[in-house]
Amino acid sequence: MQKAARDCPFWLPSLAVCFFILSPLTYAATETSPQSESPRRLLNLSLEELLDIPVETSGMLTKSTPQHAPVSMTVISKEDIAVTPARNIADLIEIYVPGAIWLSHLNPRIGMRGIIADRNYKFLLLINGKNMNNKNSQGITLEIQNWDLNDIERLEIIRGPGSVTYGPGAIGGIINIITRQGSTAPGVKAGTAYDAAYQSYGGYSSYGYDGENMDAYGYFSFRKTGGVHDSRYYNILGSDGSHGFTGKEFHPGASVTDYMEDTLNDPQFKGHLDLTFFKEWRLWARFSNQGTPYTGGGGGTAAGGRENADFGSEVLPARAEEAKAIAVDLTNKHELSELLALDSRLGYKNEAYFQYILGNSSRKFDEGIYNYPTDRGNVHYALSEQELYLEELLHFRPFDNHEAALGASWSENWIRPTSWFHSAVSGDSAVAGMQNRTAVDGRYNQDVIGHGFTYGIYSLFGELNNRFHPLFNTVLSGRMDKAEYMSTYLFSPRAAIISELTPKQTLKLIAQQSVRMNTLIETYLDDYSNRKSNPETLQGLEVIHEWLPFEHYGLNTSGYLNKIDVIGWDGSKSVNLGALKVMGVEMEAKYQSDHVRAGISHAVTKELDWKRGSGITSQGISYSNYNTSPAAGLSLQDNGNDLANFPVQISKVYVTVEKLPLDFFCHTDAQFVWGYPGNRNGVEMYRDAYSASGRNNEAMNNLSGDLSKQNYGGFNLRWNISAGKHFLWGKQKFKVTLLGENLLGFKRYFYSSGDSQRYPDKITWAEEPASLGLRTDFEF
Amino acid sequence: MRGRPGVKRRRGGAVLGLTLLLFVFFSFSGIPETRSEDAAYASASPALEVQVQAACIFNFIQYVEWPEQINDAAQKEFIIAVLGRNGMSATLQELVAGQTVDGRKVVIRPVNEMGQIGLCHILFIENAHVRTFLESGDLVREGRLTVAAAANFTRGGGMINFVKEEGRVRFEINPDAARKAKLTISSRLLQLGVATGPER
Repeated sequence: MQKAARDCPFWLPSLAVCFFILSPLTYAATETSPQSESPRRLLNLSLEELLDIPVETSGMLTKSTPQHAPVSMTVISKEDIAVTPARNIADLIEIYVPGAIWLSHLNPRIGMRGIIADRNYKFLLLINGKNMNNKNSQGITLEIQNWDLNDIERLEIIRGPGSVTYGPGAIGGIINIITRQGSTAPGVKAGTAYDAAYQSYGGYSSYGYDGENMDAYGYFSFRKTGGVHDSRYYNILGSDGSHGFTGKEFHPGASVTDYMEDTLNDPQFKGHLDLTFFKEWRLWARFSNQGTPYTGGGGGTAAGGRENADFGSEVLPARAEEAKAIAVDLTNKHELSELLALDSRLGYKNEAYFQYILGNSSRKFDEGIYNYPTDRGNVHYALSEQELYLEELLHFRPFDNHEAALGASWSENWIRPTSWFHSAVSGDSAVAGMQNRTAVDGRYNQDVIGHGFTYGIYSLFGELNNRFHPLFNTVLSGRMDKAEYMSTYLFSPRAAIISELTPKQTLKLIAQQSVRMNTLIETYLDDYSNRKSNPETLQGLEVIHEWLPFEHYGLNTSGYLNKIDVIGWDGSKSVNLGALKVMGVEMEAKYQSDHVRAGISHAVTKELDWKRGSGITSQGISYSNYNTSPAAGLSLQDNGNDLANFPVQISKVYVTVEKLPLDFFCHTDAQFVWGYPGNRNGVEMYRDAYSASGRNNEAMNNLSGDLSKQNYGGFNLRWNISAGKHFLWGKQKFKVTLLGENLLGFKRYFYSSGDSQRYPDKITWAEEPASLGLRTDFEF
Repeated sequence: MRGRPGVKRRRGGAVLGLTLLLFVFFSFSGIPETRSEDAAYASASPALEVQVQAACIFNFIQYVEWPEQINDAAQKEFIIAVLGRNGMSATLQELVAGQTVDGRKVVIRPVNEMGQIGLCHILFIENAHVRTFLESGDLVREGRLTVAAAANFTRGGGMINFVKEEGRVRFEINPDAARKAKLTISSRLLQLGVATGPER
C-alpha cells in the first residue's frame, strides 16, 4: 500500500496542544487584585447575575455543586448554541465536548471515550432529567438530529458512565437537554433559519410567561431539509472490490440519495408546553420527530435506491429510519421538613419508530419487491414503545455537610405495532423485519414478538454525600435494577473521593461499575429461548483535576481507565462480543468573561487490550483481535492495537466574542481529528491476508492504493465560523447571524461493524460540503 | 472534496494557528471584562450556594432603605449579624470584609443566642435557630432586615428567605414584615424575588 503522506507522529499534536493549554503565555498578564480572589469575585456581579449561577449540578442523586460532582461534565449554554454553526445536537457535542465524535449510520452515532456502536444504546438522552431513549431496540432516536435548537436552555453532557444516577444504559455518557421555561425565556420570540447546501429551512416561535405563582412556556418549530443534492459518498461494494465516489463518476447517469434529507420527506416538527406552578410543581409535554437515511455502502448509491412515483424523480434511500414521540412529565419537589425533601416524577412517553430496507429478499413475506418503504416487504421495524414511569427520591440532610438520598423507580413499557406512520403496517408484527429465527425452536423473531409485549423495570438507588473535611469529601452511590425478562440483577455502584486541595483546586477520584442491559426486544427473545441475558458491564477508574488559576480561567484534566465486557446481538441471541480495556486523558482550558468565551481541549483515547469473545468473527471494536475467513484461501488476522471507529487524538478549539463595537459578534470553532489508525488497521489486515494467501490480488491493491490516495483514516478537519449583529428598536430585539459551516471539507465516516467479505465492505464516508446559512431571531 | 493530505494538514495547521492566535489575542486584549459568568468558574469552595447567598445579602443593601434612627445609632458601621455558627458568618466575613456602605465599614457579628443579638442592620438566622426565632417575641425590630434559608420563614413572619429553583438561588420577600420594621424595599427587589407572607 502506498503511503501518500507520512502519518503525524503520535506525540506531536499532543505536545503542541498541551503547550497552549498549559503555557503561561496564554494567561492574561493583568494583575489579580485581592478583590478578585474568589469568592470575592461574586461581589462584582449584579443581583440578576448571582441568581443565574447554578449552585446545583446533575450527575448525582444528592444535591451538590458542580465542583463536587464526581463526573466530567460539559455545559453548552443557550448563548453558545445561538452563535455556533451547528446543524444539530450531535454537531454541538462534536464542537464542545472534549474527545467526543459522531459517525453516520442512521441518525448520528455518538462516541465518547472510545465507546461507540452501530446503535446509540450506550448513551442516554434525557429531557429535563427524563429518560427519552428508545429502550426496545435503538437507544437514542430523538432530538440529536433536530436542526432547530431554539428551545434549549442548556445541554449538560456527561462523559463516561452514569448508570448509578440515571439507570442501566448510560455507560458511554449522558446527554441532558434542559428546555427553556417561562422564567428563563419570557415574552415572545420567533425566528427563521436557512442552510443552503442542505436545502434546509424553517422557523420557530415561543411565548413565555413569568408570573408570581406560575410560569408558562409554549414553543413550536418546523424545519424541512431536502438534503445535500449530488452528495459525494465514497463506497465499496464488497463483492468485487470495486470502489469510488457515488454519483455520475461511479454510476454514469445515476443519482444518489440526498445527504441528511428528511426521511420520506417528513419535515421535523417540535412542540413543547411547560408549566411550573406553586413553586413545587412542573408539568411539561413535548412532541418531536426526526429521521434520516442510512449512509452505508449500498444505501448511498443509486443501486441501493429506487425511484418511486410518489417521490417523482427523487431516488429513495435504500434504508432509512424515523422516530416520533410525545412525552409528558410531571415533577414535584417538596420540602417535607427542614431535614427531609421528596422529589417525585410521573412520566409518560409514546414513541413510534420506523425503519425500512428496500428490496430485502429475506423478508418473511414472500410477496415480491415493493416500491413504497412502508409496504410490508420492506419494513424492518414499525413499532410503538409506550412507557409509564414513576420515581420517588427522598433527600435527608441532617447536617449542612452531610446528605443522603434514597429512591425507587418503576417503569412499565408496552411494545406494540404502530400505525403512526402509515396504515400499511398496522396489525402486523411490531418488528416485521426481524427475519432471523430464535435460537430455541427456529420460529421467526417477528412471530415471537407478534403483536408485542409488556416489560417492567424496577430500580432502587441511594447515595451518601459527606463532607468531613475540605480535603476529604466522599460520595458513595449505588443502584440496583431488575428487568422483567432478565434473571440477572444489575448493580451499578460508585465511590468517589473529592478533595479541595486549595480553594481553587479540586481533585476527584472515582471508581465505579456501570451496566447496560441489552434492548428490551433482545432480552425478551433471550428469555423466550431460555438463554441468560448478561448485561454489558463497565468497570472504571477516573481522576479529575479542576483548577482556577486566574480569574476567568479554568483548567480541567480527566484521566480514565475502563474495562468493558461488551455485548452484542447476532440476530438470534445476545452474545459476548469481548473484553475491552481503554484508557484516556482529556485536557481542557477555558476562558470566560462577559465578552469572550473560548476553549481548547485535547483528548487521547487508547486501546490497551481487546479480547474478542469466543466464536465472534466480525466486530467493530478493534482489528487487534480479529479472525474470520470470508472466502476460501483468505484468512483475516489480528492487526494493530487501536480502536476501530474512533480516533486516538482529537483537538478542539472555539472562540466567541460578544459585544463587539456596533453590537456585532463572531464565533469560530475547529475540530482536528488526528487520524483513525484503527480504521486503517482494517485495510492493512486485508492487504496482509491477500499477501499471506499467495494471491496477488490486483483489486485489493487498487483499493488500498485508492484509499491511501483519499487519505482514508487520516487527518480530518472541520472548521466553522459565524458572525452577526444585534439590533434594538425600543424594547424589540432583532438579531441576524451568518453561518459558515465546514469551510474546509470534512469526511463523515460511517460506523463500521466489522468486515467479513472478501474485501473491506463497510468503508464508507460522506464528503460533507461547505455550507452557508442565515438565522434571524426576534424578541418582542 | 478531494485534496492532497499534505495540503489539508497545512490548512489545518493554519486554522489551528489562527484560532489559537485569536485565543491568545483576546487574553491579552484591552476589551474590558467587567463581569464574569460564574457558571463554570465559581470558586471550588464547597459552599457555593452559601457564597451566592452571602453575595445576595450584600447586594440587598442597595435595594433597601433603613430608617434614620438605625443609621444614627450605628454611625460608623453597617452591621450584619448572624445567629448560628454553620458557615454563613465565615463566608460573609471572607466576602465582605473591608467593604464599605455609604462610608460605613461593613462588620460581621456572629452570635450564638437570641439574647446576644444587639443592634444590627441585617440579621441572618441559621436553620437551627429559625423556629426559635419565629416563636420569639422579637420577630420585628425597627430597622432590622431578617434573612434566612429555611422553609416557611417568610410565611412565619421573616422578611427574606432564600430558596432554590432549578438549581439556582432565588428568594422570597415578605414586604409587609419589612414595612412593620420601617424598611423600604425597592420595587426592583420585589420584582426579582417572590412576594410571600401571611397576608398574601
